[in-house]
Amino acid sequence: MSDDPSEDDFEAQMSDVSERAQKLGVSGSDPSSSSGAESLPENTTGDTEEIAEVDSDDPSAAQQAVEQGSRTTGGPDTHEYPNPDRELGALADVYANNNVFLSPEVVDAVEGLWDDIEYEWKKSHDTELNKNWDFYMACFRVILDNPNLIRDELGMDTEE
Amino acid sequence: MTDTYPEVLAISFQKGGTGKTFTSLNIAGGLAARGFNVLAIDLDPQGTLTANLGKRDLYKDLDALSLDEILLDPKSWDNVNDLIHTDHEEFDLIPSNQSYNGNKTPLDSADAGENRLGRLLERLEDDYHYVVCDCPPDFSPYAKNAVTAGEKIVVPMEPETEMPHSTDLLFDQYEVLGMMHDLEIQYLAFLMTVNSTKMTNENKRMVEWFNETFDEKGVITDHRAAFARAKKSQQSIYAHPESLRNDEVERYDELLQLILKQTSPPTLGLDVEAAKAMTVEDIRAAAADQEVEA
Repeated sequence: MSDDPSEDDFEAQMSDVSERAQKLGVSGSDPSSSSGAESLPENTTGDTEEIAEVDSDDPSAAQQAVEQGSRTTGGPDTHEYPNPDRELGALADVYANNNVFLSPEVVDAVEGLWDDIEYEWKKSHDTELNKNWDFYMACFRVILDNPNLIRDELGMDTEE
Repeated sequence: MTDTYPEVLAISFQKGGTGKTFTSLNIAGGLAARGFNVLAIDLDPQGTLTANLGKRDLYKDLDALSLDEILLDPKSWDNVNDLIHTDHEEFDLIPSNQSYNGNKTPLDSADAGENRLGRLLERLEDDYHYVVCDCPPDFSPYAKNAVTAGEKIVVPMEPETEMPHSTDLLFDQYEVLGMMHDLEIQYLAFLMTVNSTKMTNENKRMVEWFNETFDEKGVITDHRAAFARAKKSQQSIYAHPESLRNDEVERYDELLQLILKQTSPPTLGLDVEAAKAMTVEDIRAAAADQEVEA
């Protein structure tokens, strides 16, 4: 029994449905035996820490910390990922908002690239990437480090 | 039932947004890739499968002959053959139409309104090994017709905390349907689609519950961007080259293996056992051969 009645209710419901599935011949095993996370996809880590958007309990305190300069945010030449800036507080408090309008095709392509990158990162690291803190920052840092890519794209002469 | 009557699969769950349409598309594609003749039926008034297969205009054409009209009027049942579209590369399709009225359909009050599709399928001139029904997210006669027609259900899920309650309700509803029509309903498989890069503790808990509850009848598949691109290109993951190369196809194919193991489609001149025995590697090899020929 937990201290939370709704949790007990949920546990009971899960167990009832498992038993029902067994009676219906749907399940091939005894529901009391746990096979659990063994069947999770291979790239799922076993960590139990909940993934959540980075939110500070006290955004104003986080903002204050940034403003007070107790730690500066990473610049264009910072290449550390996952981005340590996330420890400074909530995204909206630490970073500046910059709206960008893109064609739907480009938005889809960026989403697809993010999905691929996130998956590949997850396969080879114990950490997780965040789309705003890491992926978008990496996209813009790449451009800033290689401005001739933009000039090429725009059909301009590139600087020697 | 005739000896050419197809296996009819209902891809059904009354909870919305759990991947019924994509599952239908991939089951139809996975069976077709093995050489089975497949008819997909879009029974969802929202017509997502129809739209995903590039037939939005058909869905919006209120003047077009549609399955709901035919189901309502047994005198017109021979016209069912006119509903079939054969231009998709993988399987044939009976599209949905805006004229379906969702939960409130005249089928509600029609005699045996939830037990008509099976009889209607006997009028098909073309023979199919499998009919894959993409059901609406409800217990309307459209969903029930798919179940009464084949008595075989595949349930797509997501790792959300509503699943135990929704599954309980699903079992309730189809238990009553089975009792009313003397059916032996079989749950062939349960598919849970997860995004392993974004698993919360609750998601993980639901995956654990899913494994414990459905065990060997449960398949867990991981979200892949390539699969989303397959859907966008109006193909199943079995016909979409990038998806077919993806390692997750093998895991997804466990769903097809479960279906194949528990069904006995008519022969129709095909070596059914050989078709059933095809692996993802065989399908990849066949696709590569086709590419060379092209």
